[in-house]
Amino acid sequence: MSTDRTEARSGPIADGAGQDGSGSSSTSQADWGVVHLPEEGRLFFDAHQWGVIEAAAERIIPADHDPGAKDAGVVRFIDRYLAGHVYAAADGNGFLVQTGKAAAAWAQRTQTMQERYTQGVSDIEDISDRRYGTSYIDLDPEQQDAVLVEVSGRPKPSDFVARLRAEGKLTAQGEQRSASGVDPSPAEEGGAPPSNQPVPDDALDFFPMLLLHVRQGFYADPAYGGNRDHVGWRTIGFPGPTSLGQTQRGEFSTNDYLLPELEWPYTDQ
Amino acid sequence: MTTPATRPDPVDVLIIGAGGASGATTAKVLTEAGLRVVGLERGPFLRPEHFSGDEIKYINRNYLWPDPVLNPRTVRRDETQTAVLEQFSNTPHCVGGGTIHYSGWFPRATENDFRMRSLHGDVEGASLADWPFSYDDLEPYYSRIEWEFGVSGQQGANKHEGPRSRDYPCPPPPVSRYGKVFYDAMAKLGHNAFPMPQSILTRPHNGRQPSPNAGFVQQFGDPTDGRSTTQRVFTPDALATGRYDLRTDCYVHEITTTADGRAKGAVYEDSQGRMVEQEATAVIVCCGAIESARLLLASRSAHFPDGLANNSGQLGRNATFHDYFFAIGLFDRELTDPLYGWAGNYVNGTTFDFYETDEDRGGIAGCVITASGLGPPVNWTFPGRPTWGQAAKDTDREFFNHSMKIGVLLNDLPRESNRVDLDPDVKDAWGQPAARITHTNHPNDVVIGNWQVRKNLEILDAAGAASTIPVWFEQAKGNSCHQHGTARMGNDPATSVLDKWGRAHDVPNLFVLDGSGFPTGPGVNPTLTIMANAWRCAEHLVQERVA
Ligand SMILES: Cc1cc2nc3c(=O)[nH]c(=O)nc-3n(C[C@H](O)[C@H](O)[C@H](O)COP(=O)(O)OP(=O)(O)OC[C@H]3O[C@@H](n4cnc5c(N)ncnc54)[C@H](O)[C@@H]3O)c2cc1C
Repeated sequence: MSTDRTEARSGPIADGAGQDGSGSSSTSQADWGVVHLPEEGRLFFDAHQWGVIEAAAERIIPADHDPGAKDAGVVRFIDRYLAGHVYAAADGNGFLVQTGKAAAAWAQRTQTMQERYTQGVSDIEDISDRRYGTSYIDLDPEQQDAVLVEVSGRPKPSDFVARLRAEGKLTAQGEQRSASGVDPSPAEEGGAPPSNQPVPDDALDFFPMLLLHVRQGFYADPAYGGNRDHVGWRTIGFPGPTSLGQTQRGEFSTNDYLLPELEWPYTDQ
Repeated sequence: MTTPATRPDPVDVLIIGAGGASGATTAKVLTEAGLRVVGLERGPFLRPEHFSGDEIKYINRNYLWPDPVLNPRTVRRDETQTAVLEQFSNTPHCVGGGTIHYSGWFPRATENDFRMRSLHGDVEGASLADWPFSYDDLEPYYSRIEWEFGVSGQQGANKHEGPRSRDYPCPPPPVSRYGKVFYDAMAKLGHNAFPMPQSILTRPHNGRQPSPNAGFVQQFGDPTDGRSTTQRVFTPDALATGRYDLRTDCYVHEITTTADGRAKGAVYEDSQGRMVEQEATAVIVCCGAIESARLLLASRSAHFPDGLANNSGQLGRNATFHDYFFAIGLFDRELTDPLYGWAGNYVNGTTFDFYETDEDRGGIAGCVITASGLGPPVNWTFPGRPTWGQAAKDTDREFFNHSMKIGVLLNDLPRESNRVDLDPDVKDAWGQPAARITHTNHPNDVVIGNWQVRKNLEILDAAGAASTIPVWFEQAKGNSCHQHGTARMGNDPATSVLDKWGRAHDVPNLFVLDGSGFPTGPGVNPTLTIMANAWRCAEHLVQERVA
């Protein structure tokens, strides 16, 4: 991902301040302390911004027979991130307090994202007011979607699963599959899965940034404040660990989802 | 150069980039042979308890990836362009280097990887060269690394592998469900497929416990014993000798030289922000092929006005980076059992059937392919996935457990014009010039890469995918984080930077032991070969000293 190269021309970056109050002079990442956040309450958003983002998130991942973004607590996930709490502690108890140059770099990124959200909420409200004469929070779901469509500048994503069914690539229950094969021109939307490349989010525009953060909040470990009671994971069938601590202690395994009884060449074809 | 505040006593050997794959291998071999070694590592010493299965932290928020604001790199296609900021082929800065968060594919290079020039002659637009040694020269070191690292694999399964002196120390990890689908399809199409050798323990080995197969592998630090990294294995060995002074959070800015053109030592900024000069009898650079070239180019002096060890003008050139792209398959839950792409150790089946040259594909060389899932929940995606609303949620629910991909590791050809140098404007957070990458893939890369994507689509089709989606190759993005070739090894000082033992032709006590020296590829994941070569060269250095 590329950005304007002039941003990096400033050269040396001073150390950012740590806030753990430990008085330690080490800025090594190995020595970062931990801060504990309140379970409830807001850290960055004001009540109104909280309400708008919560409502928009619910349209991005709506509740159906499975819970949606609101039940998952996605807005708290975003609020914590925008308040500068970036990394959960390894065991999931609290957040790391960065020091040194890393803290300075994250302070810069956090500020960028805070500005993007503040402006984004204000744009959503302007559009709601112009179209419907009221706050986004009070619109019905269809109106809320119409506002998001305008914010995104693109049509609302269409039903992909239904399209595959209509093309005969997916069967309805009991049917024979009638077609398969290459999707000749996959849309850019969704993007390729991650290969070895960091995925920076601060360079994104507001709407793609919101989409990314809502998805993260729905599917990230609950230590971050979203995916409450693992509702995100249960929706898609990811068994996931009970806590980050379980993985840190080496007590989590996916063996039940593998085929350990099979031996090479693993096939009787 | 800033005047250093302190000058500790000189030592036998200084290793720069000491925590990574090549640096830690070198530290182990030298300290165990009795040398006193100082290791400088710019990153922290993170311990296993720093790690856990936290997808956001590792994949999205760069806990281990170098921070792009602090460590800018720039990229351009050719010399006429102004390079733009882009993250390209990074590896983490910490003890463990790139091994800290790899999934540890550990295949050996094949015999032909060492003789690409002899096999293919002059290829227009490419700068093929033979290695100054052969597979047979490296084989004993392959075996040593495999046994030190407890590599898991299936002896005799890879029909294309060169002769090996020892079996794998560990059997392969359990096959995954998507792996089974891959094996069935490959058998149906008449292809040889086998488990990708991995540096993951599947039984107790050298006092370490096997991996619990937690599934948080690619890009994650491992809190367990299971994955072999240079933080887990070689660094502790070197420290145990009592002759290894490993200094972490110490960033080297410059290699210093004497008036008669030998390496004197290095100037670094320590964890407290102090400048220190450490002198040594020999200096070994192991920063990874991009950073090693960057450091040598930045170490200018009256004796070496174009950068240290660059009398040939070849320093930074002939860089190869591989690249990673794939074909994706979506499966019908009515017809296929769940594939659980997140279970196990990120990859499963592989084949070398498409690796060696077959001119019918429209070019030379070929690719390794590997079956895997589409990523853990947050980052699971595919091109065309709806991004919001009911359609998005339905798609996630339908395919999260019914999707897989078959990846292509591109075996890119070297070109003299593909290179690393210093960006004239952009500096990092310490005021050092950023590495600038100038890179355009050879046309052969595009032909062979996309031939392989088409082949992988066929395999997925044979596997019964309901829908297949290509991710075509156009130009390397640096997304495999493999890097080689910036300081070629060779016998001729006019056309290469290092001799066959990794010693700089121009500077008799300076060595570069990471992938910088590789004249071509290899086409496989390079770390096993990087470590085997570092061991081979470090052992030679010890023998020469003793002689
Ligand atoms: C996500 C990911 C997955 C990967 N998976 C695989 C895989 O499955 N199989 C495989 O073979 N390869 C894999 N790789 C590639 C592998 O990481 C590299 O091939 C390997 O680490 C290269 O070893 P190296 O010694 O050259 O450099 P590194 O291991 O990168 O070590 C270089 C070290 O030098 C330090 N350093 C750099 N500059 C300085 C300086 N100026 N002063 C002090 N210290 C410095 C760095 O902090 C670092 O610790 C993967 C890479 C990534 C990023």
